[in-house]
Amino acid sequence: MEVFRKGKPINKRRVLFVICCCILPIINWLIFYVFANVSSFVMAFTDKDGALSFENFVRFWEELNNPVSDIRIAFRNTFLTFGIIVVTFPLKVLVSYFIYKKVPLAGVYRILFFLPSIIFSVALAMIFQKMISVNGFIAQWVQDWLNLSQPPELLADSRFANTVVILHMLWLTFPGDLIIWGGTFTRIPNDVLESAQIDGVNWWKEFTMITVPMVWPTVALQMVLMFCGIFGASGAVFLLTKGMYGTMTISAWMYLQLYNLTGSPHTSNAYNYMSAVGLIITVIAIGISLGIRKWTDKAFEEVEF
Amino acid sequence: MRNMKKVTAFFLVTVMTLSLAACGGTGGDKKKDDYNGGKEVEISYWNSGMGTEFLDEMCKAFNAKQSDWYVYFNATAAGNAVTATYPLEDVDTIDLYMSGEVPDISKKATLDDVLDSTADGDKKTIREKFDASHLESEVAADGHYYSLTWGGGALAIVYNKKLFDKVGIKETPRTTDELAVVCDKLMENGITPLTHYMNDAGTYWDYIQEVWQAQYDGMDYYRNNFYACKDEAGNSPSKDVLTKKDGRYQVLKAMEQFITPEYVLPGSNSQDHITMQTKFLNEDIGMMVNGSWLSNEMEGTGSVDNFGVMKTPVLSSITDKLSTVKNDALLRKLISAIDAVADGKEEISKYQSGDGYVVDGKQISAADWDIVKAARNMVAVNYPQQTLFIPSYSDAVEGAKEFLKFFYSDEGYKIFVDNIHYTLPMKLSEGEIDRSDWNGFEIEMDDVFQKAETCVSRHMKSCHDIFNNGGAKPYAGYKFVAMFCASNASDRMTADQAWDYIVEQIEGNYKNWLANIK
Amino acid sequence: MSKPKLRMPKSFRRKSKGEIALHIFVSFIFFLVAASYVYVFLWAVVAGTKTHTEIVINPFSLPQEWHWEHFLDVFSLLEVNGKNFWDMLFNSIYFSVGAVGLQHIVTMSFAYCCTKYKFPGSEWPYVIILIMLTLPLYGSGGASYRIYKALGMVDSYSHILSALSGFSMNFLYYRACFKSMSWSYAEAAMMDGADDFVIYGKVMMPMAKPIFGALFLTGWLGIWNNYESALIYLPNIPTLPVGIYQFNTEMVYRARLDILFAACVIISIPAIVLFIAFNRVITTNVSLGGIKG
Repeated sequence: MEVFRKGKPINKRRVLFVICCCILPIINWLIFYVFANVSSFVMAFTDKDGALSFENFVRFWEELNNPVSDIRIAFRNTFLTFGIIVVTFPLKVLVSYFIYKKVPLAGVYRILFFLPSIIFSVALAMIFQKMISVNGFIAQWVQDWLNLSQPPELLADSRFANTVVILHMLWLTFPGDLIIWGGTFTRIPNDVLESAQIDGVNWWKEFTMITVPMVWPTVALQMVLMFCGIFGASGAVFLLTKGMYGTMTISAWMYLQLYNLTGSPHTSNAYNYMSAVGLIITVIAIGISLGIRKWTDKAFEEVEF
Repeated sequence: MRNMKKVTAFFLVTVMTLSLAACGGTGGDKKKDDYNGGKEVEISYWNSGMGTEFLDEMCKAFNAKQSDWYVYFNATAAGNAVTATYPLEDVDTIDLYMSGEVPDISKKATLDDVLDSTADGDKKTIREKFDASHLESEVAADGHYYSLTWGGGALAIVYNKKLFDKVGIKETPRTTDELAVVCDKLMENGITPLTHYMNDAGTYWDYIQEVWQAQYDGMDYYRNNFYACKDEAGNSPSKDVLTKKDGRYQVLKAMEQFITPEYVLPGSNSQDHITMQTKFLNEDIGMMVNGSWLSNEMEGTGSVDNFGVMKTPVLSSITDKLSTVKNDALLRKLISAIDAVADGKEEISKYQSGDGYVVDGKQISAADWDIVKAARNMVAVNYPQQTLFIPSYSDAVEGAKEFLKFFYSDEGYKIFVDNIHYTLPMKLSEGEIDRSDWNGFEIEMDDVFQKAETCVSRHMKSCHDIFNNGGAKPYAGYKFVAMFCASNASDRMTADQAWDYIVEQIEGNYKNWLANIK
Repeated sequence: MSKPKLRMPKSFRRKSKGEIALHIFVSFIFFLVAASYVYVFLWAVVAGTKTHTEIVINPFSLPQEWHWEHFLDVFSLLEVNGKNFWDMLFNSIYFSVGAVGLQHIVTMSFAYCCTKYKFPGSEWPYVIILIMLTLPLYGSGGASYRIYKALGMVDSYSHILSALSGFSMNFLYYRACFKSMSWSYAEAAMMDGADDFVIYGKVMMPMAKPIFGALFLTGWLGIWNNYESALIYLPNIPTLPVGIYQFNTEMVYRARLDILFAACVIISIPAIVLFIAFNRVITTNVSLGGIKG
């Protein structure tokens, strides 16, 4: 429906309707996205008093070259976590696939697998911390397995802390995105799958040669979103360790800058430094996401159904 | 379909109305009335665990006594949220902040006149009632007072009397070397000597470390050089002060002896203070650094009846600074003599000999006696971390000051003490605090604090800005306590390795700290 | 008498033995993971019935005495910033239902308008959103916080206004939904004299009910569970997850781990119940697949 038609009088009520629908989201976007990001860009190039300065970028470079700096550890852990997320991505798709294929008790699992997203992550982290404390069976088991003199403090020991944070993340995200994949797989026409079964196609060939190509737009979009979020890759660092014992990640570092300063943001240049770091990783992330988009466009031809 | 539309419309209207209503302010806690002609003093109070009862009672008592100002408060447990609007003149409506540390004094009103006032019924000025060494930590670099303490407490090593008796330890350790010996004896008898808690902010050992650093370097150097970041030549800020091998190095060497994976309860590095305090009160653990609040905080989870409080042991390496005491055995004897005199069990004349003293048949110089006495009578406090201040742009500065005069008056202070069961670094202008309904632990902790001569805290307002706003910390934020007792051998460091690491961190971060305060 | 034949479950028909074995193996793995989730939840239930000291000293034993009254005590004892359980519950409902509802209504209207109406810039939101989703921007947390503070939206119920955003993934869902709706319904309504407001409110919006419901529930689950932004922007108006966090950290100056874990159980129940009731709505109405541009 055209709002402005050439040669025809403007329907004022229609224009009012369009304005009503669009004004709020546009204003919100301009303030909380455009202005916020422009401010952040400017802050990256200024000190806390607003004077032009490149000290934030110099500081970033120095810290990146300092082997024990939080930033360096954060980059290392972020890439490690992201690598694990990439490797486990197909496994999570398979989890949804097997639920869709109705393995025994699939209906029960579909509900139980949502428990981590239903129960507050704060509560889950607290319970998890109690369960892996030195009094718990997990710490005892690690002590026996590695022949340690005493049960380890798994979240306060640099040998284990990062591994435990990542395992915690994998444990809670094991089911993957059941909502997205569940809805996606159910849209695949059954007759295609049935005829494939009649032709004697096994489950792996069905998955890789029929199912995945048919849902490739979803796979591609999820992969692009995954790579776009590369620097957001993190376990529950804030809740479990606050970044100590070698567990810091970029997103935890960013959050801690904000969390530690919200009471007195006027007396430090940490926001400016955070903006500078954000700008640098934005540039890197954009490069990666553009690259992955190109690859996903070429990898499979979209199947229309 | 019709119902869906109605529900949606109702929902929208409700939410939009509520959000518009909310735009007018948070509401809820304000008890606004105009019986005083509309002049109010709004307090933003950090409920850090002391509860709100004492403040509630104080506000009521103050309001009842006069009719010029109506005082009320909003409480929050989020420490940094208390001061979220300071010093934004345009949006800040708070007249008195009772918060944690807020180093920015740019828009704080001075409190010199409050200190120099005498409350109704009192016999001394508020300044005279305050402990002089504590006031030294409250004075800013320009010589004025912009904040005063309203809470916190003293910290010391708390010990399990029953376990000490069981093992036959008759005297609490007087030196850090003796502390290690006590740990050994407890260990031999199947008792875990030590526990602590650890979180991202640190541990209670951080406070005792400050006392040991001050014992070794002397309070003058500690306050006027180290924390003023000023070297001997008067240059400030000076990186050399931060990287110099001073009392901090001695602290590391001392703590290396007893903060070990054998002596410290497993789990201490990863648990919160409530969990570890619960274990301390209920399991066979010998000692834990804790504060005046322990009894209050752990009410219902464990009795403090069997627990005592010891004076902070003296750093054994203080003998480096002494001329006539060169071994720990004599140092312990000297400390016993000093304690006996302080407790009134002996007269000082018993030990005096010529210009000096004689202890255990050995001649002790007067200078050495004074150094050790000063060291022995230092106590760790965190009062400077809980401070109140008045924004200078407040329209109720006068009212806030009147309330503070009441707060620190004998009448107000008694309300505080009766509710909290521990004292601020101040005394009544006349008489003593009534401790008749305090338990044994509270009395012992108060005795340790009251008998001390010097309050030690690194959170001094006169600290160089590199500490207050720059991000500098004495040990560069390095949690060496956790590293000394880490169960992972590769995480563990010796004192020398820890010192080298700390210096490296200071060298690496110094420029950034300076940049933060430009 | 012959033995009754064992009937294979329907899902096993037409599968080879290898696939059946695979499914059983996969189901076993799923069982272990699901059991761990259930165990964690049950551990919290048991912890809620213990005393604080029992939780610390013997975290994995059964309680000496089952204190079921702790689950009732939560309503009076869980207190943060002077706000009790009911205050936090109100805040959680206000911000989850309110924010998500507002966001979806605004987004749905925005998507409808941009999809069904042609005006200068009507295609731009779609392109902008694709760019926003695929070109990530980091580090604006500090700038955002300053904006919220300047607008008085920190520690204020007005923070809900930040939900009036249409530039999100949900726009794509609604766009796809409205694109697939025939305009002939609108034309029929126009012939009856309905204007654009009436067409949208009485014709189009009701047809988007299924997708709205599914997305609302999904979004609500996310906001209900959110603590990160609430901790920064609403520390004095605690929602339940923030309340739990603050009770655990800043407010555990009194030793009540028993109340804490009982609270964890209590506050999980509404979300669990709602999810069980509506899980089919969520999983069958949300699809990101094959969105045709």
